[in-house]
Amino acid sequence: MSRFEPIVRTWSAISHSLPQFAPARRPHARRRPMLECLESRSLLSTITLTVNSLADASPPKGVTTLREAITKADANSLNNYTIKFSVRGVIDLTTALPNLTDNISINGGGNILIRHDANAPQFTMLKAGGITSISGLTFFDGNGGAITCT
Amino acid sequence: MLTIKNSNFYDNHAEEGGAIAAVVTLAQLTATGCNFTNNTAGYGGAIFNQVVTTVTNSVFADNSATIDGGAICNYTDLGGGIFNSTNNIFSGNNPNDIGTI
Repeated sequence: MSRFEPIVRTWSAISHSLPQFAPARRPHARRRPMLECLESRSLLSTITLTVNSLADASPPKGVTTLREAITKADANSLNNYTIKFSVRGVIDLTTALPNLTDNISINGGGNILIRHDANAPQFTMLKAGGITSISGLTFFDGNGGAITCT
Repeated sequence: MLTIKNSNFYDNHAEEGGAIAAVVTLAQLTATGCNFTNNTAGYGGAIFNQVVTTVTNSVFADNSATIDGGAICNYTDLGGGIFNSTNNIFSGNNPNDIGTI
């Protein structure tokens, strides 16, 4: 018996008691080409909403106000919305506009002034989050701030 | 991310950011070609900034704060309050143009 034999016997005993980490070899499976269904994907489309009334608190029927346009755009975050105006002038707010949530762009064209009604309580006129943009608007006399970015 | 272009902010008032309060949940505010005039607040007469705000080609005139930041107040305590200013005009803001708290 060589002087290494006890060590070899000991290691052999230990190695037999260890779990086998090497995965068992499986026979090579022949893979057949298959068609798989992918998840549905859709590209964002841009929808334009046109505000045709400067009214806010009590708009007449059949018109689209800024408040209604934002509400409609907020309801569907799967599309981009652009809100533009076919009227020009002052929109008096007695309550805050709906929050801009995401993918909404408002373009006043330099013709729209949004004013906090002097008799209304304090509020922030517009809160904006997500990816949103505003252009061509004037915010005037805000009591509680014009815009809060949330 | 909010982007504001070619817009005006006149005579607005709030405790923080008379015209715009950019609070910490927003990633970024960008304003280009805007006019901030005669807005008032406790902090940041025109803008109270807790985020990364970039303002370019804009005017800050006659805005005032009762405590700090006549035009802009940067609130840096939560890691935000980075204000990048390029080609803007500051005039008549009280007590200062840009304050930092």
